[in-house]
Amino acid sequence: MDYDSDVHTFMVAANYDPLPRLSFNVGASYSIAESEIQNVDFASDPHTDGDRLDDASRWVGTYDPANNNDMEYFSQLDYRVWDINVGASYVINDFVGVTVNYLYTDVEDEDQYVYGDEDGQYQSLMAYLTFRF
Amino acid sequence: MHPAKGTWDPITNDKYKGVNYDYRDGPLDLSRNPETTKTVHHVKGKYDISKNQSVSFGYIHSFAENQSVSDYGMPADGGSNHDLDTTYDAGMLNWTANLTRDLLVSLSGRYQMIESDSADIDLKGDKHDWTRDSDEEREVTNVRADVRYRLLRSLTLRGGYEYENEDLRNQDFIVDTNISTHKIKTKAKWRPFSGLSVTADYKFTTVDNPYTLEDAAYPTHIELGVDDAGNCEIPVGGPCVPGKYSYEEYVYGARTHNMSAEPENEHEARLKANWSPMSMLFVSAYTRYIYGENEEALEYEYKNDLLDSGVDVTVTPMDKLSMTLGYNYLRNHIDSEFYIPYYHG
Repeated sequence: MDYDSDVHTFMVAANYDPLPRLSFNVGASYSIAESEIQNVDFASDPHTDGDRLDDASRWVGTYDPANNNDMEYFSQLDYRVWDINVGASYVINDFVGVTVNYLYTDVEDEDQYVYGDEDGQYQSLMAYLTFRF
Repeated sequence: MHPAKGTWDPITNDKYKGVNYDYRDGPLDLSRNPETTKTVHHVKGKYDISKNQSVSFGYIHSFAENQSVSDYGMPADGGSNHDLDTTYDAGMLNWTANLTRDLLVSLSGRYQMIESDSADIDLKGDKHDWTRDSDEEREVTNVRADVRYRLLRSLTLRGGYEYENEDLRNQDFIVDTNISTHKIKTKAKWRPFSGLSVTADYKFTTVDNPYTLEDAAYPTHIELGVDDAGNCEIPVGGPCVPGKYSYEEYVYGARTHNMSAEPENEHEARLKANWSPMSMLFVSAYTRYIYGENEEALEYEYKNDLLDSGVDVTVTPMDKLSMTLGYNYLRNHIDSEFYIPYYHG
């Protein structure tokens, strides 16, 4: 069995310090992530076709391993992820500083898997108070 | 609530709705973490033998105690009948010396030991009592030697060798519980002119007896004497007798092959360049390639190859503003055989 993963990530970020005590940062990244199983190939097994199951003909072949041959289509993962962050930090004096960061993540599930459509967004706002002594 | 966590229905007698269900206690909790206390003692020191030589050492003793065994142990269900404690001891010793102005040598050793209580299981009737030894128990010994040599003002070379032995005491289900790893590392850093630096490194790892599960895989179709279509290759007198195998014997028959998903030999090469043609522009490019394979006495091989590359460009048009543009590409290809019981879980 082969398992392949491919991830492309593009990133852009900027930092700006308009005042000695004040700085802003902004960044964005975009990822294209794909993963899949390949080459699943089970041979059909004649032992699964008859005998005990003959009476109920609709079950004939149910246990044939070749039924698994399409299972690789369940494993095609394809996600597009945006990460955007904006932050600011200000040094009030030699001892105290504040920082605020905002993060936004958007996940697009391009190929639904067993768990259904996993699209979603995540946001966080973090504030820090820094004491130096 | 776990989707498969149901209860026994006395009317329909459906007791298979819940996976995590005990008919005496009802639904079982998921993700239980035991209450634990852990004490760590750490001593470290450094002694300068001379201006160019120093020795450092360290010792760690740690003791962790699981205090929830009496709540969760349930000896009647296979849990332990007493508390389970784990002790970790580690000692480290390092010697570093600048033998000449350009040559630095370092030798290190580390020994770690984990000792963990065995669980004594009391089941009804003494003849079924048994002791489950801890999988955690192991001894790990590690020694390494590193050399750094400045060949030219612009060129620094590094080399290293590392040996590690891991002795897993109670893991009876793996083929060999004594795992030895050898690593050879080389690295060169080159600054041909101001503004450009190039680092190249290569690491080779070879593992003697990588973690391998014993009798994990079933025989190949060749050994069973069947062709790709499942028919007997030699219908008369061959290992496969038409109609002889039932599905259970064929698919669930004795597993006879060992399997591992860890490399026996692994190569890792890295190349990184930093270039700053002018003060406002900084370019960094890197690539890493890993190739690992395991063919050690395995009918089913394991291969892994990974490529990770990227480039970053940072522009600083003025003192107060900097901008970075980056791109990264990761590709991973794993080739391993797998065995799953197709049906019945």
